[in-house]
Amino acid sequence: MPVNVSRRSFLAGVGGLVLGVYLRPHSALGATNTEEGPLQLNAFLAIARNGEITVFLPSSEMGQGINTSLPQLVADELDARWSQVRAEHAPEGKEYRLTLGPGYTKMITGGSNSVRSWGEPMRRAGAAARAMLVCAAAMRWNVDAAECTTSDSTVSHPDGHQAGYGELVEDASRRRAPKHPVLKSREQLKLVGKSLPRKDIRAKVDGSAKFGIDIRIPGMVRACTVACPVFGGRVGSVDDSEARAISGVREVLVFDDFVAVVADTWWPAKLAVAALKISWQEGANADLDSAGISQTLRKGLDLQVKAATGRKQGQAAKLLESADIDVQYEVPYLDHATMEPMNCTVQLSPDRCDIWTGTQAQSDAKEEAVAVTGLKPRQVHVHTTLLGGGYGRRAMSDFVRQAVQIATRVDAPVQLIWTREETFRHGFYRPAFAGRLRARLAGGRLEAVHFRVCGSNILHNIVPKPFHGLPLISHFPMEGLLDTSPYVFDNVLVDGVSADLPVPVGFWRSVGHSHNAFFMESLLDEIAHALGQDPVELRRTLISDEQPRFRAVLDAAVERAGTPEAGRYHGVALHKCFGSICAQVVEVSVGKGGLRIHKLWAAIDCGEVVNPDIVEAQIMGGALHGLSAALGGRLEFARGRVVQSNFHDYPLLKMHQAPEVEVQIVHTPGAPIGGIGELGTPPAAPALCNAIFAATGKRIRTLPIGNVLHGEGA
Amino acid sequence: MKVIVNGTEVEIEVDGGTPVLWVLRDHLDMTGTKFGCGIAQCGACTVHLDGQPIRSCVTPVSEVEGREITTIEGLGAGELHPVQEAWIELSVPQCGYCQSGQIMSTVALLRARPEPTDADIDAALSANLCRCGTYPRIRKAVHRAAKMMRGEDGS
Repeated sequence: MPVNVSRRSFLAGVGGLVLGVYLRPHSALGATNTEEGPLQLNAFLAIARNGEITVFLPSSEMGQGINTSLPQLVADELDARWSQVRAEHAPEGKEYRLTLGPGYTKMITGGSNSVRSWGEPMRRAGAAARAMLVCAAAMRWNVDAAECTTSDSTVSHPDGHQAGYGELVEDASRRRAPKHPVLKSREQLKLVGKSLPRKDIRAKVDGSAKFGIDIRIPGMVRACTVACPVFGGRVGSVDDSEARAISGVREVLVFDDFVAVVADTWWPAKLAVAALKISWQEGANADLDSAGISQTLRKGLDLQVKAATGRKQGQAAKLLESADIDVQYEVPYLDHATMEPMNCTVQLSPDRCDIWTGTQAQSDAKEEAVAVTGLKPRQVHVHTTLLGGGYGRRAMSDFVRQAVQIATRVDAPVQLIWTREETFRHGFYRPAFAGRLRARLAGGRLEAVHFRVCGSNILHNIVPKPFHGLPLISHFPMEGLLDTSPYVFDNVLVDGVSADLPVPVGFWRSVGHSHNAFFMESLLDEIAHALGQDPVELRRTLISDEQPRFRAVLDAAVERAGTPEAGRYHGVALHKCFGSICAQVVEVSVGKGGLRIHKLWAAIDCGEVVNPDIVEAQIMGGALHGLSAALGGRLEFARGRVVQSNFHDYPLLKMHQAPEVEVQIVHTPGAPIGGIGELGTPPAAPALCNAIFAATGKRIRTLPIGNVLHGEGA
Repeated sequence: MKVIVNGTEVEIEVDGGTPVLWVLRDHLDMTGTKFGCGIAQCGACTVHLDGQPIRSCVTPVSEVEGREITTIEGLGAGELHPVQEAWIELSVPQCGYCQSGQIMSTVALLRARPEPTDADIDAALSANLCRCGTYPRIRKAVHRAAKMMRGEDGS
């Protein structure tokens, strides 16, 4: 983040990325071709002489299916033969960056932005290339370009002329790209809206898919590292005598805040790290623990504490001087727990640095390498592999920095792989949050409501302090409770306190929506029960008539779910984020064996849909991500350290716990494309906990649910 | 030391305590088998030892000397295994990182139980974690593969 960054750059940039505002790509449709082989017609596509079409992805494929959905948009405008279309990650470059502010651009995948931000530029790229191919054909045949038609990667003319794109590409590459290529109308699109099979599935079932950890460079060595387990701590002294004695170990390298072992293969490196005797300078955070963190968060719920006001309507503060409901909620720190541990491969020479890694943040990765090596940005090449899960974790480049640092001291290409333990203990976690939720009821209806939230403000890590007072920064912990909320209240106050805690925090799937949807949707359930009203009906009364899409989505989910059979109970939640709306109904039973989640119905409205099957998969995955966190996700802290270390003490949702998921897409034709990667997560926890309340009368106000219900009920 | 991987005998020079996972990945450059946790908690490293699923991240190579290891690369012997076909048909993977392990566990399950119930699937696959939440599609694909293998695929 540049120091002199302007206010506007935050508005468009950090805010845009994180709050899910549409970001304008910084892109040019120019291209340069100097080599034989596929000819690049613009930044986003190249066509080979054999007709194979390569689409360059400005976003990272981390499971969300963009290496199919983005090519789908290109191919439709290009009239390409789908079987000949393939996708690859673009290199870090200015054409592939999102403009985050004036003169401030980054290549980054986040905020459910890939299709939203890149959809239209990708379509324009396809349309522009098509125009160039048609122009080349028309010149070759000496006919009017307007009389030519395209389909199946072929240009045709009524006189009987025909030529494939591969035959035309060389001529086409010499044509000028049209400045304003004409896009097809909705009705003309043939691929968009269809569940085309994903391009990456075959490689992901036969073991050939290449993730960062699978990169092999001739002569490469492996590294394993351990960083100071206390945040902000440093290396004191190191006794590496045992480590060095392990066969295969080449080097033990001591850095400021971590120690690396380099070996021929990874296993001895890992053993050697375990054999290191390190005394750490633990620093100022050595006393950090979960109880202290909770205390800090709860302090922020005191109404005397100064808070940033994010939403204010009517006389909420005054009316709530006597509140009928005044309850406290708390959610824990969460890890992304990507299945692929953090890793990065680096090949460094005096004038070039190549980086292979699964990253969501190519520009940051490059900046880290520039900072460590002193090379020029153009000498650093970031090769994006598939990501074995991202969910926001791989938007950080800490592990890239480590790998480049190691490479500066090793005379060979090096692959750094973190252990699972290191991956858990050095994350950028979803911050813990506390919420104080108050409501006043009068005359059988809700009269006033107040949400006070307190937790670490993720933006404080990346935005210089003088800007922390700006509304887009100070309001960040309240996202989801403000103007995107489905609900209109006569009297409402939303305010937030940014807690100052030393735990590294970052962007976890759905970010602030993950806790604020839980607060909002749980409180509405509490209010409905206090009023003796049906929770769905209460929500309907709070949705403005001007927002029919909210109501349609809520109704769709509720209707599909129907009425539960005896012994089963439903909970509902509705939320909007990243430009899309999602309602969920969760069905549970609570018996002798504890809680059982039978089914989850999701209804969504994400505007125009590119690939319904991928949308369904993302909503399903997002919802299970939310259930996983609600059931067992929790990082604890003791003596300045993360307590959890692996999947035995940080349980993820398992097959037998995962309910059937049914996804219904509510179509709003012509509506702007909304995000889908994060949309499924926020409603899952409140819908689940509301169902648990319906089943047991027990209100879950602290997550995770854990074993609290085990053995309850019948 | 001699190990048999996907039907081929290979000679490797390695400490006997090295987990099979790292022999496959670092000595044989077979990267389809994944590292997830290192303590047999996630299933990403699942391979078959004499036809039975094992967690290769905690199995020392000395224990498999002279025995048959099958990895995702060797599953279909050049063609796709019906389980892989079912995975493609139902578009199961998202990030895809856990799927080699899911598929290897499923193949072993279907060998033991050609007509698995949902409870069988729970028992066989609950130690294979998927962070993307593909479980519902995995379940469908297991049933689908079972049908295909029983010749009931209708095609």
